[in-house]
Amino acid sequence: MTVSTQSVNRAPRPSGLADVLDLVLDKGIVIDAYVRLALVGIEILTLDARVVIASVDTYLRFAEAVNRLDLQPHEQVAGLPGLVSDMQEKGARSKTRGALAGVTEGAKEMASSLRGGDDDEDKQPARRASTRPSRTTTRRTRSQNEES
Amino acid sequence: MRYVYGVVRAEHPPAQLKGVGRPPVDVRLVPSGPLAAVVSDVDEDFLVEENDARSHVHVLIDLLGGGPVIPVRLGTVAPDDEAVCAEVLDAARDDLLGCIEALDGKVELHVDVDDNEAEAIAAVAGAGPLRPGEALDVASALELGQRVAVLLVEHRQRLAEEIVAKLRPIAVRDAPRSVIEGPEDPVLRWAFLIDADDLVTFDEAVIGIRAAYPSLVIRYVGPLPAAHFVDWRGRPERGDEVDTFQGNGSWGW
Repeated sequence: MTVSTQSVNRAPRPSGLADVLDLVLDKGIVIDAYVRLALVGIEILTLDARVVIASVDTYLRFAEAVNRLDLQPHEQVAGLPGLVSDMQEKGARSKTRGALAGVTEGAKEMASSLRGGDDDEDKQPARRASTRPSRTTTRRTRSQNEES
Repeated sequence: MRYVYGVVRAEHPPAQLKGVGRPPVDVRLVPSGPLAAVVSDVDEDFLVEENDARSHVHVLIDLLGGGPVIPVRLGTVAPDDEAVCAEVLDAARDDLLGCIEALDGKVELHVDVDDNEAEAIAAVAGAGPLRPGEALDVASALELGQRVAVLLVEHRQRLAEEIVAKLRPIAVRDAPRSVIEGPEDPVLRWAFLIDADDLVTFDEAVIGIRAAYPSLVIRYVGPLPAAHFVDWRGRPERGDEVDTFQGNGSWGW
């Protein structure tokens, strides 16, 4: 086998805990009977693994990012310029719809703080992780025998 | 107690690395018939910590050089060697042998792709008529952000499909490792099962992808034990998993 061959661009081991757990937390064969799971603490570490959901904060951050795009004249890449002007026409009469209606007030504060221009998108990739929360966060009892 | 890392063939060379627990102790093989369990001794009250999860994975990776390895779920312990033989090796011998055969000569590789959010937004949005710093009212900003989110998700999904399409022909099977559907999700989290002999070819393909997408951050990890491609009759139902982007292989577990 050539598995020991290393190339400069390939990491031999997963580095982040989420990537480690991705391989063994809810993978691998499961044995019943006398054999049990001795897990504790790990789930706390994985709680953060994928709490990443789109929120008002997300949308405002995106809008702000668009707002910050410079005005160098170049090809209109996608539909967004038209989309923005469409929105400006609607301007003040525009209402948030559906699920967003209740959060608009709180969002105003967020929006103004975002306009202050903090660069929180820079840290986004670091928060990404690959474990699925519904699985990783439920296995938190010490010795449950979950495969019946 | 015995901590169980995985199952290998009885003649598999032993692991060189130390195992779980504090202090870490030697890892050894407990053979029974054609198979052996990879175990180490732990205290009666042993509980897995972060370090142990890493050790578990590192031991499996270490073993991979000597032949196929079936990973056992993190935190699996048995009272003694006899229990390991009776409950693991003998009880499921045929299934384990089938798994071992299926994984022989194959390894798992992970390809993770992230983008720079600001660059990605610029790519999907182009230059807008807004002047920098000009304020939208909140409702309009939310609506704009939602539309950007849709474009961003589509953009990332397109990239993901392009990248998987370049790698899939080299792989035996492939599978998503994470549900990717929202605007806060990354571009790609994918597992590939390949013939170990194709590793160099896969490396070159990844190098090519890096060159083709210089703005993307591509993490490439392996060879790993084939955790996402173990076919096991006892596997739990995955009906509750929703994938927006299916691999050609079935989910491992």
